[in-house]
Amino acid sequence: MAAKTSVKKSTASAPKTGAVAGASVRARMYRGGLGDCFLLTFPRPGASPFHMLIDCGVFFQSPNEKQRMRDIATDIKSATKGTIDVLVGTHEHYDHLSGFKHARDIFASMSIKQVWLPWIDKPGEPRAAWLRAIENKLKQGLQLALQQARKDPALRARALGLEQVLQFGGNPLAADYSEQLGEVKRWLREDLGATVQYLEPHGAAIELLPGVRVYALGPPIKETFFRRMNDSKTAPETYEAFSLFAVPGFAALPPAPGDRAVTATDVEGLTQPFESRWHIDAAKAAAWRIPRRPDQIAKAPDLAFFGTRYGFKDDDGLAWRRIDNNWLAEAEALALQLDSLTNNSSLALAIEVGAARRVILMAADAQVGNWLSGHEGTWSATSSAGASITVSAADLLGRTVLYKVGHHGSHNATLKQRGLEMMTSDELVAMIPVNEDFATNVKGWAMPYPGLLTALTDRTKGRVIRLDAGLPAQAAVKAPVRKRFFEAASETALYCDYMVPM
Amino acid sequence: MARKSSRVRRSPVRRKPTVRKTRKQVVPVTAAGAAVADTDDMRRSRKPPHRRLSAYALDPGASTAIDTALINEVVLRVRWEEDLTPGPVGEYLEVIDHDPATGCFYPPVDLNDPYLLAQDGLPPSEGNPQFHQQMVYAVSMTTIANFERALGRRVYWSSRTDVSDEDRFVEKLRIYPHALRQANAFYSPVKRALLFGYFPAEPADRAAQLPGGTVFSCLSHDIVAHETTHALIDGMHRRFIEATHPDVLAFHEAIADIVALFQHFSFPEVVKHQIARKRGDLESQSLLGELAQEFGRATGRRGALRSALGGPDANGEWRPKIPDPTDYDTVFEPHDRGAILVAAVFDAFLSIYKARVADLFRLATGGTGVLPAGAIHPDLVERLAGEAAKSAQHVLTMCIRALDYCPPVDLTFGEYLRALITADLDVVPDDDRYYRLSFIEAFRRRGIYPRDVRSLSVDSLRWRQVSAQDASRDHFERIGQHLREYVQQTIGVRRDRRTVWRREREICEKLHGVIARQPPHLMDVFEETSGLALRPERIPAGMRTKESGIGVFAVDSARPARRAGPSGDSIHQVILTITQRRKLPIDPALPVSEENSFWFRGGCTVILDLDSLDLQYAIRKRITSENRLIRQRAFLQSSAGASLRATYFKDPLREAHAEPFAFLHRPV
Repeated sequence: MAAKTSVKKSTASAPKTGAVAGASVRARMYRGGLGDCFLLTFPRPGASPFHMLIDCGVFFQSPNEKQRMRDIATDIKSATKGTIDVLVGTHEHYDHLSGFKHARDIFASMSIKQVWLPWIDKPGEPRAAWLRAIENKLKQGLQLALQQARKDPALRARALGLEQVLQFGGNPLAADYSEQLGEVKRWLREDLGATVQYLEPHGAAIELLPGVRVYALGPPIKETFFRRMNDSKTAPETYEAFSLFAVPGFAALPPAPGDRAVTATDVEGLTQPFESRWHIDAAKAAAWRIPRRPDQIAKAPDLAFFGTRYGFKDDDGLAWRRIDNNWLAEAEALALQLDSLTNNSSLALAIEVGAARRVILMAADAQVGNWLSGHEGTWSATSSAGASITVSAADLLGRTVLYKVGHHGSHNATLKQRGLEMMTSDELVAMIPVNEDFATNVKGWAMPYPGLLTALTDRTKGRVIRLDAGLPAQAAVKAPVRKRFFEAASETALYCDYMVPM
Repeated sequence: MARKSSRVRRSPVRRKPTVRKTRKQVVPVTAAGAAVADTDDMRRSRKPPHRRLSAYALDPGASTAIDTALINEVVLRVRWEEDLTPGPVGEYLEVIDHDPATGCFYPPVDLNDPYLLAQDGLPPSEGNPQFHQQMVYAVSMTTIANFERALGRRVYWSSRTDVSDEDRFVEKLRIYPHALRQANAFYSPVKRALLFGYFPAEPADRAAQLPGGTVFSCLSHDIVAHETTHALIDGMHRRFIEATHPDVLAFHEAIADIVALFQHFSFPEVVKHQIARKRGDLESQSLLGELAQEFGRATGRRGALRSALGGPDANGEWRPKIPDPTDYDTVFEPHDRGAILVAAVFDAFLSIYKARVADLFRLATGGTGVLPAGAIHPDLVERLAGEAAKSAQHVLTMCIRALDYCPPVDLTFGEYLRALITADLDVVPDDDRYYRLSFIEAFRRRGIYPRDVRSLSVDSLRWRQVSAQDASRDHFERIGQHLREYVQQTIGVRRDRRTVWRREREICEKLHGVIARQPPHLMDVFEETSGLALRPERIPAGMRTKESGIGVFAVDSARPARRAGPSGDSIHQVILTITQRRKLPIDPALPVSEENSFWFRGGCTVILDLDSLDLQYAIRKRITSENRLIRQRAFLQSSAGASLRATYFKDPLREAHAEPFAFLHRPV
């Protein structure tokens, strides 16, 4: 293994010369916190190595957020000698893009040749209009819900959970909330001077370098796949309807342009499902008090009905059955839908290297729908002998030797039967960009999901590299693969490296 | 006495006396009051058994199609509640129509309004919220009546556990017909309430449904029946909302669907219409085998929300679902898994129906069994529909009755099959129409087996009966005597449900004392029979003990059941449930903490025959079972126990404001 020595010595500096054939691809996971930043370095005979940067971000309000990102950007600059051949922005979440905000000047001083974005990011893309409309509507509604929940002392504690989910998009209460990451994307597209490519799944594979081929797996083209968040066998058509807005005041918001689910008339219709003659003002009913003279009840029987039965007063023994605050649970559900929608819009890539066609699978934050859609088509490529070949997602999964675990190891971002269980290679290694302490103790989230972690450890024979914990303990890796693994893997405080043989 | 009669005299011609007063007035017969009592008697003899209320048989969607419009409006015959007040608020239900999203209340309907009494309540209408109130009331009461008939007792809702004794009883289930603005409806175990949503339709097929039109889930018979069933099961088995096994939540969903499906068959017009269209064949796609048509279409599906028989394939063509024996081992999402059980029960129903109508087909076809082309004779339709309705009512009754024969915790589908078979054997000793075999066959085809039986014969599926020599048999006699006394005071007497409930609490306490104070040699027998751990030397890890050193246990319920079989004999039983719990770490390698802990429960359902005071069955889930513990841990750690919501908002079942069904009912 020619790579051995360079691995052991591997520091912040880039390989000195282009690696020769039979060398390795270096996969580097930066350790910024809960967030993704991966640098793949491919050897190029007779030329400087080829660098691909996939995402650069850390979760909103991570400790020392800005400085960590700037340190990482500085290291990227020195590791690549200031040239990034391909920069991939997988999806519009803060924990994948914030580095380009915090270290914009550092990236701006580098030469970035190509920017790859998912097809839905193409300005004016008509097939994504529905998605943008729904996203906007959800963001507006959730922002409103959050503001309302924070005002109500009874709801403030629960509002925190909602806020945290929304922070995937950045600061949910900032006036420019919807603009923040949009601005990063604009900058990537327009200001870097790079060639921008919008990738669609399936079709022809991208011949990146001799011996390096890229397959775009997602995001799905079909709307239904975006809406798939669960893997249901008997109800394959199940998907979510998004036009459900329980948040008070939401219906009064102007509809987003092109939002086909909620048009202006629908909003009016929904504001009042019944004609006004049926309406009894809830505030009046709440203010109703038992009158001194019983015959007065007969004058307003309906107010009396609700005034005595509903449970307006906190201490009247009926308050436990009230439903006024149920909308917060609705808002939570909508926040999850928004989160899943964006995750499903991830640009997931399979990168095939070397004669053995080993695969590095960069799953971004793809959730169920994105994974399933990958199986819906095939790719065409040209073999080294010049023959035309057809490649399926199952092929790619079967040859995967390095799996960048989706969505920080949450339970629904790694498909079981049509995902992990198809990764049958003996060489499989997993990298999880997760900070369990931050996810669990600060956010209270189940990341990484214990069941998935067990499955990954089992399938990789213990070769699981984590952003927070670094390399696994020697004893945790099964003996037959231990030596080879620890020769190919290394760590520093700033990153973990793994050399994928070509 | 005198006081009462004087009160009667003061208002001799009361138009609407409430029933409680009426009852009390019946007793005194004084010279002056004779006329009054007489009038009361006459009045009572005129009391209608039912209140007739209009409703949609399916949902408003069916009224917009020419084909189904004629049969979609039905009149439900709901038990007459004398004390019904506007709301409607009756003995079991209170409909409170609050729409928080608009900040409105909608005025309560008064079903005693003479105009409404004279015309089967309000006519079906989407635009009148008072009709919505009427419909949820009518369908919910119908579902309750089905349960009471099958169980042979009055039902009540799940009691509260977080308040002082007097407030624990929940007399009325609350119904909010317009609680949510979303494509959802659910039973809230915390609020003891049904919450129904409304939403703009977002159909995939725009020809079939108006996009953006408002869909009200409270106007779907199936959804109302489904949610009411959730509440009824929670009232019987409050541990069945704890996801301790993939089957538990799936079971809740399945029974709720089964009740909704079989209630379709109680609408004769719908059954006749569908039988005529399908020429007696209920295996092909029909409205009878599908649930929530309008809701399904409005949320972008090509057909009903769920179907017991099949569904559209990739091309939108309806295809029957072929039973797959591996499904039970591979499908874990609660609704999908529940669908396996629903399909099994529907399959059993079809076998029963086919056996019952085979002779009719032979008669109608001169023995060939092959129907000529074209419409079938209306008489045949009538007879087939009658058989279908009868079979459906039998199957529904069997399914509900079996709930009494389930273990109190951690139910599996296989155990439910055993409960079905045992319950039916008790009431119908001669299975001359092969109902039980139909069930076994249908379950077998779907790979649903109990874990612990030697064969799938009726005999081995029946819960183990306690033999005559068994020492525990005598032992339970003492318990039985207490129970007999209790039952005599409650059953058969028209007492209000609160009194019945309070008596149950008292007897449970008494039995708790009897069990806790039994001498050590009997304790041994009792532990073996019940699967509990009581004696100090038997206490497993994580269980609390009383001061006396005995393991903490609870007598959760003691419910009488009076069931009559087709041969005319009736059986009187009491069903006791006794449970225990242990706090254990989810990951045994780590210490118990707030996150790393769960309640592991065990216990038994004891069925006692009240006539002989014999212990009939003790359906156990051993609190000390290591196998079950391993299974439950594995389940809690598997992704089947998780959801995206759980990733972000912790385990919803642990939180005080949890709504397990709210999130179960939407695929988040």
